[in-house]
Amino acid sequence: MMDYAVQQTLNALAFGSEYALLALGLAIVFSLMNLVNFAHGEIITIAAYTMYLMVVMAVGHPAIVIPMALAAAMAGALLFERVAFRPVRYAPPTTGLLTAFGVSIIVQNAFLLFVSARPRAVPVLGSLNQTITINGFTIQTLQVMEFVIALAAMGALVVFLKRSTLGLAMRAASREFAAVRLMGIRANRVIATAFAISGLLAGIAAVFIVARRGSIEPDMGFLPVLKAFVACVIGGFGSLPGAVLGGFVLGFIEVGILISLPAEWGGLVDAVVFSLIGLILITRPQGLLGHKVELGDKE
Amino acid sequence: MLVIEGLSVAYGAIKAVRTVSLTVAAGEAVALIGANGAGKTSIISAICGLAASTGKISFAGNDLARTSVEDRVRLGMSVTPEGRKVFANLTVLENLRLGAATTTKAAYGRNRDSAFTMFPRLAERRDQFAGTLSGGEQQMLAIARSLMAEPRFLMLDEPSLGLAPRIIDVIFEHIVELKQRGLTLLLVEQNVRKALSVADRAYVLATGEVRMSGLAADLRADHALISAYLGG
Repeated sequence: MMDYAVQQTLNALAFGSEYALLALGLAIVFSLMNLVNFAHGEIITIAAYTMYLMVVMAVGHPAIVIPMALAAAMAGALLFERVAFRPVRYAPPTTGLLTAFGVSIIVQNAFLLFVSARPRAVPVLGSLNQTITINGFTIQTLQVMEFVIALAAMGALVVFLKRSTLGLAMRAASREFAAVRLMGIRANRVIATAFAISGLLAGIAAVFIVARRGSIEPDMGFLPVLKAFVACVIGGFGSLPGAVLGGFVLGFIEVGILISLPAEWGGLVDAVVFSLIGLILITRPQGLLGHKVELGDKE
Repeated sequence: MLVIEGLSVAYGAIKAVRTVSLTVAAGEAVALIGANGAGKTSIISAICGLAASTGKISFAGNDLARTSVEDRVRLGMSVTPEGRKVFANLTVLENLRLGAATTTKAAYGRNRDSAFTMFPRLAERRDQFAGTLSGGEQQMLAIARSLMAEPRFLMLDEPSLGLAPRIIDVIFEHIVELKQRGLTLLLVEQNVRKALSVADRAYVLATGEVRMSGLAADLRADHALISAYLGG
């Protein structure tokens, strides 16, 4: 029984880590640009297909595949920013949202056309996932790694945001972007850095997603980013601590419902999860860590 | 140092500034005075590059038409923006660090120390979030932050806005101190008496146009002017 509890807790922490990493990427970009980047899922896909490409080219060692996937994710995010989002930076938020959907559709279809609509196996990261037994507890190494690495990445992000000039500028720009520019800090650099960070975090998540699934497909980024979006809403959109908290809350709700529902009700898990989230938002519409926005005198 | 010719700023159909020309010579303190909505802040925004404008702005011999907001700072101009615009979610020290983004590390240390000498209150509150400071302290921080870039030319946009008279006096003492240090100043104010007491020259703006300009001492004596354009 104890063994089962440990397993499920790790399970929840692993899912929570994945959602938190992705939600952080959404929140960082949103806090600066008011852009809900629904193309974030395609960063996962780009990282995943990079891993697939490495396998096809017979470069199968995780020590090469993982850095390449992370680099591809960052490059992909920077490319999206430069090509798609920069031209619409000063347009209304709905334009940015539609642009993100456009990017998402283009990238998905590119993989569909040039690779395949069917899933492809990427077995290269399977070795990361071992089942080990410590003191009688059965543990999946991948889940532990995911949690530890997610925590390390978040720790590094906190240090970056608190210590470096660019990190300070990103925090400042979430409230007073024009004033940051008046300090001589380039808007393009601040935004490109935000996209690079969100790409890196999505790349880390992608490595774990591929390691767990062992396969890739063109629309594999959709569901994780939908979950990350939900995590952001739970935590309070645009709040970085909120994104992390929301990610873990969602992970625990999902796993909690999965194990408490009878097996034959398995198909209802998402319905119950979203109903619960609805209840959270009815009592706290601004999210757990979000601030109430005064809309009274909004133009 | 600053030469503006035929500057216009429009927001959609609304013309906020109409063919304004003005100059600020090196070492001079010039005031831009006028009632609310006269176009003062729009002129500052155009000089900073934040507002799109037509006409010519040149600074220290450089035509600014193709110079980005960020690069204008590197030419030696800095601004204490209207409403202070301190970074509320950052500490006092972090605000100063961002102000020093265009300078070296050594210059940052030096300028931070001199900011703390000038504003001891900020030194006491160095690790406090800027959003928790009083209005006067935030104005001090905004001025200190704009000095961190080591500007030759400083624009102060409504430094007295929303402050108690006693605090306004303190802020203006600091502005006089900056002038005595040799900084070239462009001061935007609704508080006409205060502005004219510091400035060498002034431009009077109404509905986006320069209505009058001259030595601050002459304008100060012109009571008719003050009541006509500035409402007392």
